[in-house]
Amino acid sequence: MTLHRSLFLVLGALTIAVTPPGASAQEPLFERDVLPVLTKQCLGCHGGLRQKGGLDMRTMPLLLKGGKHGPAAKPGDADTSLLWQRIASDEMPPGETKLSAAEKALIKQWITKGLRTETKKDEDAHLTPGVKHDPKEVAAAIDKHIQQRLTALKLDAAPGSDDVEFLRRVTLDLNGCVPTAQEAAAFLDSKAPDKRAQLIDKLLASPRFGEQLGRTWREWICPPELPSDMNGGAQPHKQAFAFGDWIGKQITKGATWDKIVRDILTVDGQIKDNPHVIFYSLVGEGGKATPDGSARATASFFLGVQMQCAQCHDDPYRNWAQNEFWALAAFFGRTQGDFNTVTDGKAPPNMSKRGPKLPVAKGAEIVIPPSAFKNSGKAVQAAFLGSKSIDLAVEKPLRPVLADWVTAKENPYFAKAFANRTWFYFFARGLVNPVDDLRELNPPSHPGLLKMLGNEFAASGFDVKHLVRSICNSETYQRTSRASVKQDRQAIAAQTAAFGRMPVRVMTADVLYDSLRQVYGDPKLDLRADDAKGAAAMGQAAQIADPYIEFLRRFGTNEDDATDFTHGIPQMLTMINHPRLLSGSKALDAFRKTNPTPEHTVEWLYLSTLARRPSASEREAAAKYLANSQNSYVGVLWMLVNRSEFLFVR
Amino acid sequence: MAMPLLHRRDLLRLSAAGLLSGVSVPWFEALAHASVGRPRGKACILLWMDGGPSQQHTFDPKPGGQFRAAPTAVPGIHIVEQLPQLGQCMRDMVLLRSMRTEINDHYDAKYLLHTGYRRAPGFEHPAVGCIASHQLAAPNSDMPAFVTIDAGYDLRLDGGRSYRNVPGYLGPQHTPLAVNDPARGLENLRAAGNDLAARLELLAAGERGFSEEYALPNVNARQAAFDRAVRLMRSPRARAFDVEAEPARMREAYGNHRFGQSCLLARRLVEAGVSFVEVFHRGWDDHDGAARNMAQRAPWLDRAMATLIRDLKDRGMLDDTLIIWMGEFGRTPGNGDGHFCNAWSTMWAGGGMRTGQVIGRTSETGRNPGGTIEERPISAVDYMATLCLALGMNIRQDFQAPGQRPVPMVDHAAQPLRELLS
Amino acid sequence: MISVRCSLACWLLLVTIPVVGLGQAPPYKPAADAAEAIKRIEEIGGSVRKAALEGDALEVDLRSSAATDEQLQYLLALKNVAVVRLRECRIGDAGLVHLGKIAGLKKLHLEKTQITDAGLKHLAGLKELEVLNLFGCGISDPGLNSLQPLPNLKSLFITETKVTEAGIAALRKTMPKLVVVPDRAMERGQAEAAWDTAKKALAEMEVRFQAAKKDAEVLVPKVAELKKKMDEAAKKLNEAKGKGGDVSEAQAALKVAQQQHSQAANAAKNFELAQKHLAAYRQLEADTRSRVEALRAK
Repeated sequence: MTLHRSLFLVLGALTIAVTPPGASAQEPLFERDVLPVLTKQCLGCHGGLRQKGGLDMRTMPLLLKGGKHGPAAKPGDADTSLLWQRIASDEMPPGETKLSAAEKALIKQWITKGLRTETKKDEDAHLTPGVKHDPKEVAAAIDKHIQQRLTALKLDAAPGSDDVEFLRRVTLDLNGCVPTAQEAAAFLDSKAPDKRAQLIDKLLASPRFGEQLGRTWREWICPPELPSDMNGGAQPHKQAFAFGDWIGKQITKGATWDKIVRDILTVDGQIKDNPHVIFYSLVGEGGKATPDGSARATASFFLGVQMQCAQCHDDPYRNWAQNEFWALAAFFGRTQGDFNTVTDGKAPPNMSKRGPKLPVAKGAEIVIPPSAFKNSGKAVQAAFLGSKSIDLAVEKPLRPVLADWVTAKENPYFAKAFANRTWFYFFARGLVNPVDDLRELNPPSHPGLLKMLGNEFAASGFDVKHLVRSICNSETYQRTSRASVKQDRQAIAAQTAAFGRMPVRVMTADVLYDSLRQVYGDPKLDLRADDAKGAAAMGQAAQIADPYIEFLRRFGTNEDDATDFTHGIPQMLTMINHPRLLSGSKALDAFRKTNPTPEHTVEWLYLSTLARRPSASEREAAAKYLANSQNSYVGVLWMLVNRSEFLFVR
Repeated sequence: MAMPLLHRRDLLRLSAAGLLSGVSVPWFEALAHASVGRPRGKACILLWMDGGPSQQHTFDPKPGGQFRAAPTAVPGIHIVEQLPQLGQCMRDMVLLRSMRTEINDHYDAKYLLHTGYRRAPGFEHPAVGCIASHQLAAPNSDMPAFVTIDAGYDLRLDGGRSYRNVPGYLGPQHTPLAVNDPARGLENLRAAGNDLAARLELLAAGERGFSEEYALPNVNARQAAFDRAVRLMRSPRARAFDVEAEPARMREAYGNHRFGQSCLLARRLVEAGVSFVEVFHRGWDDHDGAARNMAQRAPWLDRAMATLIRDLKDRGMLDDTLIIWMGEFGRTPGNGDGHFCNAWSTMWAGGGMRTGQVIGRTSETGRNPGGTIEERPISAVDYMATLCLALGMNIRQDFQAPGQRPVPMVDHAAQPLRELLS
Repeated sequence: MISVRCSLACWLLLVTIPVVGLGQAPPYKPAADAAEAIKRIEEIGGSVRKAALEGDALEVDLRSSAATDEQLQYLLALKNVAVVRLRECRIGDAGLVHLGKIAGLKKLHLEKTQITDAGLKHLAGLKELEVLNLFGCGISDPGLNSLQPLPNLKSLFITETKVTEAGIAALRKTMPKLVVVPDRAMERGQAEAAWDTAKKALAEMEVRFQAAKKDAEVLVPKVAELKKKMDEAAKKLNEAKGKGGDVSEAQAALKVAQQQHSQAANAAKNFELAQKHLAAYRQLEADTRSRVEALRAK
């Protein structure tokens, strides 16, 4: 599921360096250029958990301190630097894979140029910690952080968005659907100086905000199934939807994030009263809750840390020992559940189906199962991440104890993890990437900003809308995403990566479906093949039995990178040729009842889909098209929903 | 060796190349070169019997078994008497009777036999059809490289969830196009309404403007995908999706059954340049014994497959087209009521292979005839390596999975059946 | 910048040249070198690939493309062309003149093209040609004579042409190793063999079916009666148990009754199964027979 997939799928996409055009491209920096090489080649033995020869190579100070043979590198002098000597002679790394010529050249140059590092500080000079601020103040502080970094990278920020860009973007982001023609016209025509802030408030007050956030989290926790899914064959669509709805309703009710997470972590009972019981089996295996699945998901989704490697072995890159993973899993050791029920049993369930008999876990212990490859059979006592084992009353439920620690304001991960995910949602890129890989060696692009957002989120009592309101009111969020032909593409990429420009994202399947349903005035919009209704009878896969599920499957996007365009010919053919998209729109019919002029109708169609009025040439082209008596307004609507401008969140 | 792969977005961009011919841009030259470098290879029609067909009721009958053996066109090779026409095609077929694939669970076995890898959470291995699309298809073809055809089911729907072919890290352009009903062809291929040209013209002006204002890779990728779809709609080759265009006697020859019509559609698609077609027919999980169900399936199976082999041969396509008939495992020796991955059969035909032979042997006698392999066990990776080699791919290459992680196309431990390949 | 040009070009082409396919070929312009020839071939909807993983041999695939006779000259600018596919192209005898100059050509696919008997003589120079596919072409016996000078020809496909068995026989005299598809005699032989297998299987099945039918006729009417007997035996066993005496006799009686009942009950099932098998075997027999008849009629 997402947390696993992110490990493999995201890394590649994130290697695009924030390289400003010009000088610094020639000067290697430790964090940006050298550390990735060291991580790949060296840190397995000279990292957090293993320090052969007393050498830890994870940070600059540690490199300069060196191991038992002395400092690893000497600024400006490669030939006397141990690091260079060892890699130049291929003495290191000891295995078969040596550094490539390019990697060697990079490291040599870095030493020769004086071991340059990036200058980024984990400090926030703009807001007082522990106090909740006005969203406008927070927004201004966000902009200052972003601007500082842009200045350091010698990059300009893109200009602000126009009203159409902003209106469509913020409506899609906060309410998961294009604005109606009426909403669009009202906003575009408004002269109010604070109309953007007003719109943000209005969208946040709508139940659609909760709904959109809920299904976004559903998508992260339970993306549409792929062949490798643990829940192979049994993806519980209905229950997953209920889970997303539940999160949405909590947000709408005004529940804070700590409350929601606490509810999820401590839930006990039946799905009919508690739709969130589904969490455990969604992240478990074969439709059942598992201690390791629950631990991985808690770490990834609520704490922003990846522990899947530590499940089977110590993770030298992340500094997590295998013990620590199983200590977290121990909190879920007694939790039993399926798609409908979750409850804590008396004794930890025996996780080994076959193979050697394992010792029975006692109290708050868990026994590492054989599937972990290493240390199977070892009993591990429950403990919080980064702490020694804790005192636990055996008879007391364990999950509430974990929930207390996870959702505490002092928890070093909880607030930052949510802030980072929320940032990722709006900007298609976290301050830390992958979004669930918060750790020392994977520093944020904007450490001060992440710290500030975490502080502010905690100080607001984990008020989701406060955080979102602050981000959406920032200039950073309100910049344009336009990238003209005349601009340099490298510069655009650098600017976007540094949040000096908004990315252009692909509508998720949910958002696309809702937008189409709205403009066609058809809540049950069905874009399946003609014969899909009889599909079950003809022995076709059950997945096409429901128009919504089939739509999600077909138009699913890359949940790890919202800018990634993943549709292919089947999606295109559906949009181009499905008869439903040419067979009329109830919304259009309702508008036509007001006897509008042809010009007004065309304008209404543009507003309903692209949230803007047509240009003069577009009016003219539409008029020309409509002049042919065979053509009709629904043809114009077809053209609009087939526009790239419709599909992209710009 | 690690083959440099173009970045997935580059590939999407390249997919528009057919339209761009003549526009001199640097990557186009690169594309022309790259496409020359890769062989066209062969096409493959994979006939997938979902649920696990019984080897003793098809290609590996045993003395005293429920189905009797009958001689074939190759002296010394026998298959069940229920498949008389197929038996006469034996000179163009190879029987692999010693599959040993270690997984008896439907879904995991389907994953293994489609990807050559065991299912592991969080890592999506590309299906072999997607690999063929990546390796063999001409990048500028207006036909899709990989098509799946749902041949429905006959007796009942069992055998677990169907495997869904995904391209994983090879990129979404290698996702198969799915035909849900061979009689209807590719859904949404035909234009709705009669004003498509006018609508496209209306659309084009707006798209032009948008791509100037938003000159971004994803916007380009979308426009390229849109172009490909329109090209496919307009391509004369796309008529291949319409089995009704076939003469009545040919439709009749394949049999008036959805499986037969699927085989016919598969042939039409391969003829039009599709690299890989998977026809899947479901409901082969014969837990109450294979005899009765197999007897009912035999007439349409025999007719469709024999006609497919003969038809490809008549058209001079058999040497360039590999046919494989298989499921995710076989069935227990005897009555075939259980899953059996220890010793089972697949049938291969054509493909320019050394046909007319049997590879591997299962036990003939003992308490449980057919229960063990006596010669040349074929593992899932051996199978996959042989398939990729037979299609003309270089199997000693790594794909670059995200995170700079090299993943071999086929596990390097594989021992392909070189005796099969000429 | 590049990609923008790309999309602009796409859109312009989409509207102005909607169909790259039959009949809309860009005009022939001589290609200066191989790279240009490849470009031109791709322009008309074809592709140039390596023929196999090993070696330098090339394959030019122009199936269903807009290629014309004239444009086949592009192939002459390429080295090592071993395979040419021209299925369903609008090319005719004039195109064969160019193809006849590709010295190393090993496989030539001309299915459903407009070539005629007269054109085949242009292929006389293809000394390496191994496979010639003329499926669906308007050729007949006289054309085959032109193939005599092809020393390496191994496979010839002439399905759906006007070639007769006599024509094939004549060709075989000078080219005894040539495999000609279709081979009517072999087809008939195989169809007859398949029919034989199906007939034998059906005959055996008839016997088994009759036995099952007889069983069913005899035993099925007795099912109710045997059930009653079985129930009575069970009752007796219970009574015997109640009395506390020796129950072995009653047990044995019950076992016999049970066996008889299940045999009768199964007879119905076996009959049903035999019916299904018989239907399947009849189908197989009918299918194989109709194929034999069809081939004999040809």
